[in-house]
Amino acid sequence: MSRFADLAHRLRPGAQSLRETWRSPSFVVDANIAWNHVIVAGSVMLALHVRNMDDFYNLGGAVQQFVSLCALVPALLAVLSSILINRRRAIGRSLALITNYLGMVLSAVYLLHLWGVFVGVDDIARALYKHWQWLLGFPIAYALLWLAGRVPEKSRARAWLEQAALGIAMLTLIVLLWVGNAVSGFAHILGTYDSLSTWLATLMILVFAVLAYRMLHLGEYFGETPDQRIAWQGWLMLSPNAIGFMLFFAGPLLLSFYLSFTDSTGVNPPNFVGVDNYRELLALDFALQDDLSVEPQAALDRGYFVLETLRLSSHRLVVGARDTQFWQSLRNTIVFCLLLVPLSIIPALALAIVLNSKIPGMNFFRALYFLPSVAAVVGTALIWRWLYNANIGYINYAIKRVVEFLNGTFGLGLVDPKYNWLTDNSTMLISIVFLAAWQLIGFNTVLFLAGLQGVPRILYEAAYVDGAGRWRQFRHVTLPLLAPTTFFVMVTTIIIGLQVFNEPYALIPQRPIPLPATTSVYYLYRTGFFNFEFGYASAVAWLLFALIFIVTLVQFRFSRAGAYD
Amino acid sequence: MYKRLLIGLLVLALALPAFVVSAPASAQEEITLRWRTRPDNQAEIDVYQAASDAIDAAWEGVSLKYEPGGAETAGYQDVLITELTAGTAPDLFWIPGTDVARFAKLGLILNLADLAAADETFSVDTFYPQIMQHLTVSLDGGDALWGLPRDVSAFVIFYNQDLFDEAGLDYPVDVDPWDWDAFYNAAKAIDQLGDEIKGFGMNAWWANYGYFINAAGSSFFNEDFTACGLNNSGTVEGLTFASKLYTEGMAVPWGEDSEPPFLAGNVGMFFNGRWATPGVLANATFNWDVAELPIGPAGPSNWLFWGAYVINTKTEHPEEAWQLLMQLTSADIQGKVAALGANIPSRAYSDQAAVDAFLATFDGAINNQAWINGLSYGVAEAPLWKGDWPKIDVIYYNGVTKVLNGEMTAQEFADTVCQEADANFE
Amino acid sequence: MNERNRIFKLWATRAVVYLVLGAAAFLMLFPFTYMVFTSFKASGDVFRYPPRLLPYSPVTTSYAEKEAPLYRFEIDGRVRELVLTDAKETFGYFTSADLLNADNPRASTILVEMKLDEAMATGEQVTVSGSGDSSASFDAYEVPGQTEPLLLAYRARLDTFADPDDPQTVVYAIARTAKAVEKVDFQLSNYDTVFGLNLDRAFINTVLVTVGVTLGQVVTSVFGGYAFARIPFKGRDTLFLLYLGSIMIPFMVLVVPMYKLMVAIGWENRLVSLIVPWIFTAYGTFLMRQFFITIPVEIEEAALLDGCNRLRILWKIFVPLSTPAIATQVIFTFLYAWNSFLWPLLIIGEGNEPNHVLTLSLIRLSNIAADKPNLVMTGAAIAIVPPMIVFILAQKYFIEGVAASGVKG
Repeated sequence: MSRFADLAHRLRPGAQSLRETWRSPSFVVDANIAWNHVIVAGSVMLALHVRNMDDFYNLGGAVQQFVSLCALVPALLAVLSSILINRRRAIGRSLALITNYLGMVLSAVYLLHLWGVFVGVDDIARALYKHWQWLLGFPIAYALLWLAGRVPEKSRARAWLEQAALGIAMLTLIVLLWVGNAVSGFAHILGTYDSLSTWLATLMILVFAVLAYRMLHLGEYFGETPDQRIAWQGWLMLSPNAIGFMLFFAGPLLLSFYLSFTDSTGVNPPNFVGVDNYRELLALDFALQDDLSVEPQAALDRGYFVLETLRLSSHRLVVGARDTQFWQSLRNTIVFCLLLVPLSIIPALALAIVLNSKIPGMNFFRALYFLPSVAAVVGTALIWRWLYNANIGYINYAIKRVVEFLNGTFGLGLVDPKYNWLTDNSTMLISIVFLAAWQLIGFNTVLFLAGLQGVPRILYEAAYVDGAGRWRQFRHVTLPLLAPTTFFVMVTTIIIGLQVFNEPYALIPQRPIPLPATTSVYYLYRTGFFNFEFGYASAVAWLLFALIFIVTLVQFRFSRAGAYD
Repeated sequence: MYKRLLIGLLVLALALPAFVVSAPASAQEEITLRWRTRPDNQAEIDVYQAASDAIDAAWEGVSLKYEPGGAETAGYQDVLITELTAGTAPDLFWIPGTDVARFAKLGLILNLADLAAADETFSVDTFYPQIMQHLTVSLDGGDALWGLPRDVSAFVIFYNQDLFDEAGLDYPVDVDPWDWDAFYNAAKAIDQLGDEIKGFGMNAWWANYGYFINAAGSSFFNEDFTACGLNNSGTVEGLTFASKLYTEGMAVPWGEDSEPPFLAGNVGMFFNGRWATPGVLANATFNWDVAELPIGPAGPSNWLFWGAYVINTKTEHPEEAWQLLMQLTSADIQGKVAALGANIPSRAYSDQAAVDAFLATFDGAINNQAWINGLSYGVAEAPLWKGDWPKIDVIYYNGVTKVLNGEMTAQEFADTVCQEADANFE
Repeated sequence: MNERNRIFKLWATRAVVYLVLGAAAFLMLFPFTYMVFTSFKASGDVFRYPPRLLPYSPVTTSYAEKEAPLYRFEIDGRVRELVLTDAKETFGYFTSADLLNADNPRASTILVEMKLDEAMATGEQVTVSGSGDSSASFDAYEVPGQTEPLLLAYRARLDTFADPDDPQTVVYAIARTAKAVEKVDFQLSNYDTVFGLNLDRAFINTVLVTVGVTLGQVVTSVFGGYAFARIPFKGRDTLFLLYLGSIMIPFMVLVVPMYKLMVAIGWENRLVSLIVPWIFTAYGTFLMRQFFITIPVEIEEAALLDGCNRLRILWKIFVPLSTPAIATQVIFTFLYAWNSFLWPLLIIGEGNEPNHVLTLSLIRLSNIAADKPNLVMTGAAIAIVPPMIVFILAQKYFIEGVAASGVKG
C-alpha cells in the first residue's frame, strides 16, 4: 500500500505542480501499476464468471476452461508489465502499451454496445426505409460531380457544379439525420447513463486512453530503440484490422479446428474423439479380386463400401471407402475444377487476344463481358434454372433448332438429344460448370488482358520481320510470355472451384442435392446443417483447406521460380 | 483524500465485471411465444397467419409470433438447425414426421408426456393411431409424447381436365379399374398431344417413388423398422413400372419441379398432397380435379403423411407452449385451417362432422373424397428410431434416381441397395 | 501493297473482330436479356413453347357477361376473331382400317371429323395391327355420308368458339393449340408486386449493409495493407502468412462458431451481424498490400525525412496513388456484400422479414412464387441491376486495379 500512499502524496497540491507531476515518468509508471491492480481483479472475476457459467453455449467443458483461461490473459499482461516497467525495461512498456490500448478499444466497443449503437443499425434501416425518397439526394450529387468532371478544368461552371454536388450531399445527410430521428437517438444514448456500467465503461476508456497516451511518450525514459518504435507504429496501424480479424475470424477458426476432433452435434456438449473423424473420412480399402463373378462388395472389409472398380486383365481392383459420399463429393469437386479450368480459361484467352487489338470499342466489350461476374449467383442461378428447363428452356430450344437446321441443310439425321440438364445424373455437374464458367470468363479475360499488355510490342515486330504468321506469333511469343498469367489464372480458378457452393445450392432445385452434383462444400454443409454432425463437418472443412493449401503452395513455388525467366 | 479516491476507484473496478455479465433483462408484461411451420407457398402462409392471429386475439397474457419458415428448398431445416444449435429456435415448431426420431434422440424436443397427463382435456385417442404409435416411442422406458400431428394428408392425382378432354380420355374417376395399365395409357395418350406436354409428373422425394414400391407390395423397411426392406420382387416390379414412365419420356424429368409445368397446363397428371391445393386453386387457369392414385398390383396404396408440432426443449414457457400446441391442433383451429384448403384435420378421425366439413371445402367443387379414401389405406410415414433416416434417404434416393433415369435396372437396385443402407441401422 | 487494299484489309479485319466480339457478347448477355423481358411477362406467358422473348398478353372481349379471350380463325378464307366459350363438344375422328396408325392413332390420316353423337356405333370392334407385334382395337361407327362403317381413330372434347357479334358462327377447336389474339404488353405491375413482397425493405437493408461493409473494409484494409507493405515490424511476416492462409479456408467451416459468437453478443437477427464481422477481411488487406508494395520507397523516405508522420504519408501519398486499387477493393467488397447469401440466410431469421436482405428475399420469392417465374425474374432483376450500375460507373479504375493487383500477386 506504500506505493499508493506515495502516489497520493505526490498528487497532493503544493508538493509539486500538478502539471509537473503529470509529466514525470515515475508518476505515470506508478499510476499504471495501480491501474494494473484493477485490471488483474477484473480479469480474475471475469475468468471465474466464465468458469461458473452452467451452459456454455453447448461447447463443452474444454472450451469453457480455455475461454476462462483466455480471460486471465489481461491479468498476466498486467502483472508482467507492472514488474517490468517498475524495472524500467522497454519490454514492460510495450506490454503496458498493449494492455492499455486493447483495454481502451475493448471498453470503447463495450460502451458502443451499451449505447445500443450496434443493434441500432436496425433502426437506421427502418428510418431509411420510411424516408427512402431522401436517399435519392446522393445519386443526384454524384451525377452533378460526374457532370463537373466533363466540364473544362478551372472553369466557373465546374467549381459551381462541384459545390452544388457537395451541398446537395451535405443537405441530404442532414435531412436524413433529421428525419431518421438522430435527436432521439442521441437522447437514447444519454438515457443509457442511468446505469452504472455505462459510467464505468466511459471512465475505463478515459483511464486506459490517458495511460496509453502517456506511456507512448515515455520512449526516452525506457530507452526505446528505433526498431521498437517502428514496431509499435506497425502494430498500431494494423490494429483495427487485426483486432477484428482475431475476434471474428481467428477465434471461430480455432473453435472449428477443435470441433473437428470431437463428435460435436452442435446441440450437445462435444466429446473429444481424437482423429476418429479424419480416419473415418479418409479410410480406404483396396482389394484385388480374382473371381469376377463375385460381387465387388464381397472383397471389401466390413464397414467399407465400393467406391470404384477397375479391371486389370483377369483381376479386378476394388476400391472401397468408409464414407463413400465424401469421396464422391471430392471426385465431383475435382471433376468440376478440371472442367471449369478449360471452359473458363480458353474462351477468356481468346477474347483477351481479340480485345488486345487496337480497335475502337474494346473497353465497351470488356465491360460487357465482365457483367456476369458482377451479378449475384443467387439471381443468375435462378435465371439459368429456366434457361436449362428441359421442356421450355431456351438452351434445349436452341439445340433443337440447330439439329433441325443441320438435318434440313445437310440431311444428317441427327436426333434431338433433349437433355434434362438439371435432373439427369450425367448433366447436372456440367450444368453447374457452365454457369460458373459463364461467370468467370469476364474476370479471367481482364486478367489475361493485363498480362498481354505486359508483352512488349517489339517482340511481335521481330517475329513479323522473321516472317512468322499470326499462329506462330501466338504460339512462340504470346503463349510463353503469358505463362505466368495463365498459371495465376489457373490457380485462382481452381481455388474458386474447390470452394464452390452457391452455384449448386441455387441452381439445383432438389433437396438434398443429388450425389452426382454434390460438391465437397455442399457435403460439408449437409453433414453439419442437416445431419447434426458438426464435428465431422469441421473435419471435412479442414481436409478441404489442406487441399487448397497445397494448390496455393504449388502456385507460390512456381511464381517465385518463374518470375524472372 | 486522494488515497480514498483511488481505493474507491479500485472497488468500483472490481465490481465492474458483475455489470459486464449481468446484462439487464428487459421486463416483459406479456409472454411472447414464437412458432413456425413450413409453408409451400404464399397462400399457405396466409392461412397460418390467420390461424395465429385468431388464437392470439383470444388469448390473454400471451402474444404469438408466427414465423413462416422457408419452404423446403429455402432451407427450412438448415435454418432451424442453426437456430437450435445456437439456442434461438422458436418455442414451438413443425418438423416432418421422418425427423421426429432424430430430434428426440438429440434432446432437442420436449417429452410432453407429463404435460399431457396433467391436461384433462387431452386424449391421445382423438388422433390417428397410426401416427400416435410413432409419436409415443419411449427412449428411456417411461411414457413419451414427442408432439402432435399438425395435419395429415395423402397423395392424390391432380389432373388437367382440358388435357384429358383433348386426348379424348375419360377422367380417372370414370375409369374402372383405375389401375396401372389405365394410368399408363392415359399418361401416354396425353404425352402424345405435343412436345411440351407431359402425361405425368411427380416431385423427387421419397414418397413419390415410395408409392410405386408400396403399391407393388414392397416397403422401405422391415416390419419392426430395424432394417432395409427393399430387397424383394415388389420393389423390382414397382420401380420397373415407374422407370418405364420416365425412360419413355412421358413424365416431367425426375428431379424437376413438376408443379410449375402442371400449373402452366402442360402436365396431364400430377401427384401431390392436400398442401398443394391452395396454390393450384389460385394459379390454375384450366379445368382440373383430383382423383385417387391408381390401384397397384398389390392393391390400393397411398401414404398417410403427417408432420408434427413439437416443443423446443429450451423453451422458457413449456406450459404455454403446450397450450398453444393444444390450440393449434384443436378441432376448431384445424377446421378453420382445413376450410382454407391447406390441410386435413389430424384429430378428426373419429369425428364424422369434421370429415363432412372437410368434404364440403371448396363447395365440394373438387373431389375431396379422394383424400379421405387415400387416408383410409395410407401407410403412415415413419420416423426411424433405430436408424439414421437422412443417410438412408440419400442412399435410397440415389439408387432410385439411377433406376428412373435408366442407368440401372430395378433388379440391380433391389439386389444392392440394402447392403449400404443396412450399415445405417443400429 | 496499295493504299486501298490496305484500308480494305483493315476494315475487313475490324468487321471480323466486331462480329466475333458481338457474338460472344450476345452469348454472355443473353441470360440477362431473358431475365429483363421475362420480368415484364404475365404468368401464363412464361410457359409458352416455343419460347419467345417479348411479353404478350391475350386480348379479351366481353361475351356472355364476362371477359373471355379472343382467338383468330380463318373461316372461308377470311380471318375472324372468335371468343372462347365455356361449352365443350366431343368429336370423333374416323378413318378406314388401312389408314389407321395403330401405334399412334393421332397420326392416322383422318377421313371424317364430326361430333361423336352424330355418328352411330355399330357395336363392332376391329383389331388393327401396328408395327411389330402390337395391335389395338377400334370401335366401328356408321358415319353419315359414308357408305362403309368407319373406325373411330380417336376422340377429343373440343372447345367452342363463337363470334361475339354473330353467335351463330361457331368453331370447334382446342384452345391450347388455337391461335390466340395477343398484343405485346409489358407488365410493369410485376415490379410493384415484387417490391410489395418485402423486396423494397430488403433493398434498403442491402444498400445500408453494403455501404457499411464497403466503407469499413476499405478503411481497415488501407491501414492493414500499409502496415504489411511498409512497416518492417517484428512478427509481421508470420501474421501475414496467417492472413494469407485464412483466405483459403472455406467459409462454411466458420459458420457455426461465428453464429454462436453472434448469439453470445446478442447480434443474431440483427443487421449489424451482416456488417461488423465483414469489415475485417484478409482478402482486402492482401489486395491493398499488393498494391502498396509497388509504390517506390523513395517517395516515402523523403517524406519521412521531412518529418511527416506515418498517417500523413498514408493519407497524402499512398491513398491518392492507389485510386485504382481502392476502386477495385470497393467494387469487390460491394459485390461481395451485395451478393452474399449463406450468412444472411442463417443469421437473419426467416420470420424477421424487416431485416431481410435482397438475396434472402429473392430465394424466398423463388419458393413462394415457384409457379410464377416472371416474378422471380423481376426479383432477380432488382437484385442484379444495381451492382451492374456501380460496376459500369467504376469499371475503368476497377479493371486497372484487378490487372495491377492480380497478376503481380
